[in-house]
Amino acid sequence: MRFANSLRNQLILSATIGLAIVILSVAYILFATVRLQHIINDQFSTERFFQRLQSEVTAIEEPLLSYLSTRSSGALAEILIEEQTLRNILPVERSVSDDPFAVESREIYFLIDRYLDLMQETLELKRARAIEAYTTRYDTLVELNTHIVNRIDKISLFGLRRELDNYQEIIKASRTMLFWNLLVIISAFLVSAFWFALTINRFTEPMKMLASSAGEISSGNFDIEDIPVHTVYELNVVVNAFNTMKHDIRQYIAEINKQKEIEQGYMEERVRNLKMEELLKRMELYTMQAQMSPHFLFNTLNTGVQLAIMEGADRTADFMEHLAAFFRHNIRGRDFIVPLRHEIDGLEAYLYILRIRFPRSLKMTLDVPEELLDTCHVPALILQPLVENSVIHAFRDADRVGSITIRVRKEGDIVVLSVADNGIGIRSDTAARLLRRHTRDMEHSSKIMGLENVIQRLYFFYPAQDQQPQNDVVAIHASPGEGTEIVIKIDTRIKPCIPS
Amino acid sequence: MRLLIRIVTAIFAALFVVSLVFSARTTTTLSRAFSTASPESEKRTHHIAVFLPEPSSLFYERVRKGASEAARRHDTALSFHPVGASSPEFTLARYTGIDGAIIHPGLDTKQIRRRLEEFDRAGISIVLIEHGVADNSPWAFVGTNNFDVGRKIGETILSLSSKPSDETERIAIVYSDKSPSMSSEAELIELGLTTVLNGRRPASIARRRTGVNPLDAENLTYQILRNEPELSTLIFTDTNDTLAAIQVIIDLNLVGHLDVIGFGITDAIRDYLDRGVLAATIVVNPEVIGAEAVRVMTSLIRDGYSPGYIDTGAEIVRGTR
Repeated sequence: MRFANSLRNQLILSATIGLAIVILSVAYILFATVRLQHIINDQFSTERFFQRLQSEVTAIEEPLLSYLSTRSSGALAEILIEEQTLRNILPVERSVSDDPFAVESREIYFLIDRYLDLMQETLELKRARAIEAYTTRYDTLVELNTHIVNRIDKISLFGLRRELDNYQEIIKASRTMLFWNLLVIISAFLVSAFWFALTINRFTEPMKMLASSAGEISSGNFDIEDIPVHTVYELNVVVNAFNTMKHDIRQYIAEINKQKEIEQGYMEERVRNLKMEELLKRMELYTMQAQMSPHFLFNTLNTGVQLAIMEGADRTADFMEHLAAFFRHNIRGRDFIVPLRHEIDGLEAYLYILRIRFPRSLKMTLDVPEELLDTCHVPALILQPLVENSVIHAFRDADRVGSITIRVRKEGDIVVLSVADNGIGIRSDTAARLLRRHTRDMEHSSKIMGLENVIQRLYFFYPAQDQQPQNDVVAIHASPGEGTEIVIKIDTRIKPCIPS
Repeated sequence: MRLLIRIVTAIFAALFVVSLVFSARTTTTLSRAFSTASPESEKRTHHIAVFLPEPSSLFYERVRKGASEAARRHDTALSFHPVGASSPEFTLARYTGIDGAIIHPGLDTKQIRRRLEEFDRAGISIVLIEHGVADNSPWAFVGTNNFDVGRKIGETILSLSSKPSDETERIAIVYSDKSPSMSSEAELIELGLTTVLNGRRPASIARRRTGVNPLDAENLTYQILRNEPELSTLIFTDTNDTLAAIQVIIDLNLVGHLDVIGFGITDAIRDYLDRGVLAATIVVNPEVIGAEAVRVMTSLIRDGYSPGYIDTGAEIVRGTR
């Protein structure tokens, strides 16, 4: 198979086939031409035969007369030779047919037969010296000889006329044959030429495809189709090697890219961890710093509570107790994720303080289903800063009763926490700025407070959820003059990202 | 590109094959059609020579035609030769290997009789056509009964004539070397004619003759019309003479001047009959003569015997007059 499919053998085979077609065509045309010559030659063979017959019949007359006149042995020998010659050339088969020419020929053969028989009888009469008989017989022979010659002339003329008619037909048919022969040689040449072209194309096409594919690969495109394998062994080797090389390179590149992606992911994770660690440290520091004052305030407030109780100021004592509870809530525990009840307890303490502070100008509503308090967990200190944000910013320069509504509900696996106010609202650019994720500016991050702090912490804890646009972890629904609602959605199926 | 080359290659390959096939077919056809031994010729069992008068006339052409068609049916090959003492083809025919000879004896019955005997000695079967030869040997005969022809002519003349019964019917019969069968049996024809007319009407019958020249009849008719106004009926025994004579009568505007009875039936003669230019025509069937001669000869060769006399019949076709 390898031998048969080799480039050299296929070239030799194609060349042989092409040349064989041309050579066979030429040979056929040569054969047809020779056959035509034979046919034309055959047309006059009968006439040539009758011409010979006529000359032999004519030639016998002179020695016959010579013998009858002189009894020359030479003449007799000549007669016998001529007679034998004639008998030899006369056809033995003389069947009757419906062809007038054949019938006429048959009559001539019988006439010559009879002439020769009569001649023999005449010779015998001569030997017997029957003068009157052989003389009379000689007259008959002369008459018969003349008749035979005339009949041969007649049949030759008839034959020639017939052959002349045939000749026209032959010329006509030979012209047709020549036309077809010309077509044969032209088409044979063209078939051979195109066969060669096909063969060459079969060899060059894979090379062209190779060149084209190599160009593609050199420009970095490895997603090209494989070059089809052909039957030429050497080309198959090259094509297979090229296809394999392309596949290998593509695989190597894919592996490298994958490795690179892994490395990049690893690096990103590491950077993220570093950032987180740093952030935590800063937050811890910030918390530490923040705890400094609450501890002092907490102790002071306890002292104040005791003083108020001793002085009988119960309402003050109650206020200070809630204030102390609020600070205690803020400084107690360092968990990042806390039960919802913990968050709500702190918020309620804060709301109590606010109610004391703004008994007429602020109305606050807390709507949290009891069953969620112990089943849901949320990041610590996310609701109070939002309420604080509303108190500080929403009712600035407002002369109406402010309203803040805190709601918690569960929609499927999502815990939705919202803080809504009817304040002055937030401009869209401000909302967009607030919602922008802080990535590198750690300096800035270290100083963020209130709402922004909550947002950035939520981003930090739920990075994956944040990447799903339809399920933002935090959203601000606000427009100037129509209040603000900050909605936090926590997917309970996603484990919060808590640094180790 | 590759597909295009393949298509073009396939087209030229198809052209190559078609050209080769047609070329080979033409060569084969040439070989078959023009080979020395004609493949179309069929073998026949017997060879019969037919001897007919020369030059040939329409009548004898039809005899040939009838004979040739019958030869095919009876598996026989025919060769046609001129008859007569001056024809070596006839005089030396006994040396030609023929199985039988169909002979139209012509006029020189004495010479013919000698040759018939030579044929007979050579073992060659003989059938005479159109004209018998009085001889001791009973040669088979196929042809028209000319006495019957004469009788029918007489009956036609009687039916055509409007003369009083005592007035002499003046008749001229034109024989021709072109139809030797009729001229050689002139006595029989006239005997038949007189047999009918005898006792019913006095008749004067004159003989006229034309040669092989096809224009002889024109001159003869012209002379008769000019010099023999008393003639009431002119009878021709050759088709060519009939046509030539009628043309003269028409040219001289003498149609109806005398009754003309022609010979043979062609489209022109049918037309003349329809138009009343010809009063009647004698119709014999030459094809039947040729065919019957071949049949009788084949029977003679194969079985050794045959009917001695076959009358192929004759009739008179009347015109519109």
